Amino acid sequence: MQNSSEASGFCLTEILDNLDCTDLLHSLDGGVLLLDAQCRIIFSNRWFCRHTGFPESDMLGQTLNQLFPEQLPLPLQDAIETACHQRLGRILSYQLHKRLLPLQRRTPSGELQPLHQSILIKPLSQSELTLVQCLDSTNAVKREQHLRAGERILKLERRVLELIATGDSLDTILDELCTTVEQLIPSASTAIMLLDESGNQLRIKSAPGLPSTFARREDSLKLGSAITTCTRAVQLRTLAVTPDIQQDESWRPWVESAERLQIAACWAQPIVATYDEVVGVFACYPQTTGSPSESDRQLLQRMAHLAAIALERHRRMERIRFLALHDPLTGLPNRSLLNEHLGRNLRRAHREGHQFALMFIDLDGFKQINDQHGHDAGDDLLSVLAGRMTEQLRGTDTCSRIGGDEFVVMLESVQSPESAIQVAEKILRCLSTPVQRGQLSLQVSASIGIALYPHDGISADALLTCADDAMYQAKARGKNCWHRISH
Amino acid sequence: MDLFSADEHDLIVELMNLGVGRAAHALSQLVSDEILLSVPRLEFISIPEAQKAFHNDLPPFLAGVMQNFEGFINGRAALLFPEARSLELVNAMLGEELSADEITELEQETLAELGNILLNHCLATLANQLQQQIKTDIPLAFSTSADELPGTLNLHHDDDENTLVMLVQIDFSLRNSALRGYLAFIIDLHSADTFVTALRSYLAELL
Amino acid sequence: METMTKTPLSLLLVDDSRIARLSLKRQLKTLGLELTLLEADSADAAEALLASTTPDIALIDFNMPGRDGLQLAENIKQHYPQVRMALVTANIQDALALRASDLGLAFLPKPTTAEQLGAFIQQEL
Repeated sequence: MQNSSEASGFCLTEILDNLDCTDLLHSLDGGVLLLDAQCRIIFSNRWFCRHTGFPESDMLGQTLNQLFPEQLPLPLQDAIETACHQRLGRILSYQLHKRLLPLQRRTPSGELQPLHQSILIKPLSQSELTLVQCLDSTNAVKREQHLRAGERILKLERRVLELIATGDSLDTILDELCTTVEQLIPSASTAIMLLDESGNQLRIKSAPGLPSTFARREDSLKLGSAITTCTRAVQLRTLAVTPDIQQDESWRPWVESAERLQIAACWAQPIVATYDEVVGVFACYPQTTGSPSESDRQLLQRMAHLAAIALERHRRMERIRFLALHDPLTGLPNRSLLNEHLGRNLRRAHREGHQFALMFIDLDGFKQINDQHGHDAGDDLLSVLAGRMTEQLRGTDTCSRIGGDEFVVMLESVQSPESAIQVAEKILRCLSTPVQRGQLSLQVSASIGIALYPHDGISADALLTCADDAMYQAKARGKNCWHRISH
Repeated sequence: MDLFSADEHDLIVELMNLGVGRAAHALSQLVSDEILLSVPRLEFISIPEAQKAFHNDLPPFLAGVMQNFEGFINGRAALLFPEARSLELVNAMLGEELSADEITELEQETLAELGNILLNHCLATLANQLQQQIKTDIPLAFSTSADELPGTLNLHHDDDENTLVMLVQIDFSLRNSALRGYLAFIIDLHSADTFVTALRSYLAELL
Repeated sequence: METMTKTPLSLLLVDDSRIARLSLKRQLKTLGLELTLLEADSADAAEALLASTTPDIALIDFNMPGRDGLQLAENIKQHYPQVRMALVTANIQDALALRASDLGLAFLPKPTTAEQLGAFIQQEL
């Protein structure tokens, strides 16, 4: 053993002694230059010739500055001079200097692409020479970007889940999703489209990277008539890809606007909620033609999934909010929502100086119906009457149920006391019209107290009290009538 | 220490101050924050003593950049951070938020360049003031434990007990962040004649 | 440079490094001004001196053991507002220069030159 290792040790020394150093440097997969004390190149390996396009003979005797006039970034020039003149070694990293030497490399498919690099500059011991070593970090940069992208997605997922947990607005979350995909798939715009309630029309919900004109143009993609990439994604429930919209018949009507927006392709990922319900589409519009790579596909899937979670959560929150603010029997706003609307309307009326009316409505004879025919009959009656009252009102008015058989109607604005009275009379009529329930004909009437802002009060409390008092006076005057207290 | 007079000792600290001040200026521009510096601590100690000093003064795990230099003085300079904090500096510089989970190749290079800028500033100032030449190698990023630092810095000689090194330690921190770091210069003293001569002639001018 | 003052200007040097003070004194000497020099190697020592005599000018190092130069300057400004001060430091960061100028101090980067010192003192004459 000892002999053999000695022998090999001996051989190695011999091999090294006889090795042609120049040959070794030429075979390296990285750039090597030797500079003299005046920064002139006295040796360049083949790698450098290959990546600069200069033959070795053109490089020798030149400085890098002469070779690439006005192309060398200042830090590199400084570093070379400091190293050659003052013998201080330097490293120039890719992250701090995105552009060092103007080198290019050929991809396996033959395309030229910029070569990312870091440069080490090392003054050599026992000589005046300086070694410049150029490392191709293109692959490392790619790996890094990949890593960074993975990290970005994770971070985004965390952020979206956080936004969802803290109940941030849906728009914020969807915009964030779009923006992230635009960062990760450079030179692509994105949009999130949602199916409307009827389930056959896609509407743009979020497209932060696209002009608003685009949002209008694609506003109504009818599933039936125009088949596009996005509608196909909804129907097929899977990623739909149009690699080149110029070649796609269905894109014909939008080709012009697509050109203006530099959209060359369209990839659409359906957004699938629970119970396999397709609720929308995550659309990605790259500026160059082509199909998504495997990682693009995965990204779109993950983003669409996040969108689904956000949408689901949003819907649930809306539902909870609805339940908290509405009467479960009639679906009318409850006291809380009435207070909210009333407060808002007070501020508006004060600001704009208009009048509005509040009516306190109490049914006459409802208790007897409950006692005689049971609560189910009473409940049915209330539902029907609630519907009838709502029909008498404008969309901006509020009809709320605040107790067993008590309702408050707010007319958002009235021209005069007379118009409020007209509405009150219509309500009296519709409430006293009998309701047919099987064989039974149920009939009640109502007593209504009217209060007008600002004449009868300028606060919510004052108005409600005034209307309540007026309602009792209407009852005292024989029911089935309205009353307004004269001041 | 017998090797250096009180004035020479004082001069070394003052020159270090000068170099570190310049380096801090360069760093503060890179990270857009003010760098707070401690007064340099200068010690002449044996290698086992240096080991003890690292153990006592530094956090147990370190990330750093080291750079060899030779010329009128020979040794190694190191920029050290508590491990996992080094990335904060890269983040502060690149304005990009990276997780500290792993330090990638590109970040190592960036960290190395950063240390390079700092250490070169210090060493070049020292050499310029004393009108001497110094040559620095390219920097190397590493991570290690405080106890293994002397090994990492390649301090060991055949005769550890009797080999003296000059250890200059400077603490620095960023004004607006919790990041702290250490600069250490370890200068071999077994071939310090030129250094002593340079210091003396500088002082002779002055006194 | 010619001296124009009748009573000699008194100048306080605060620096923990004897070498730094020596080098300052050397440069001041080349200016040919008639100066009374006071020296202190720390903020505390400077304050002890100030209790008995008030100089016209103080040149203060920043990085010193104990309190730093700006902390000292703040104190001097409060108790001896007539003293004109300059921060003399190798720490040439913009942020530090800014803090010095906020306190009304001149900022002289180390290593100083006789010209810079002369220009500063001339202003104060």
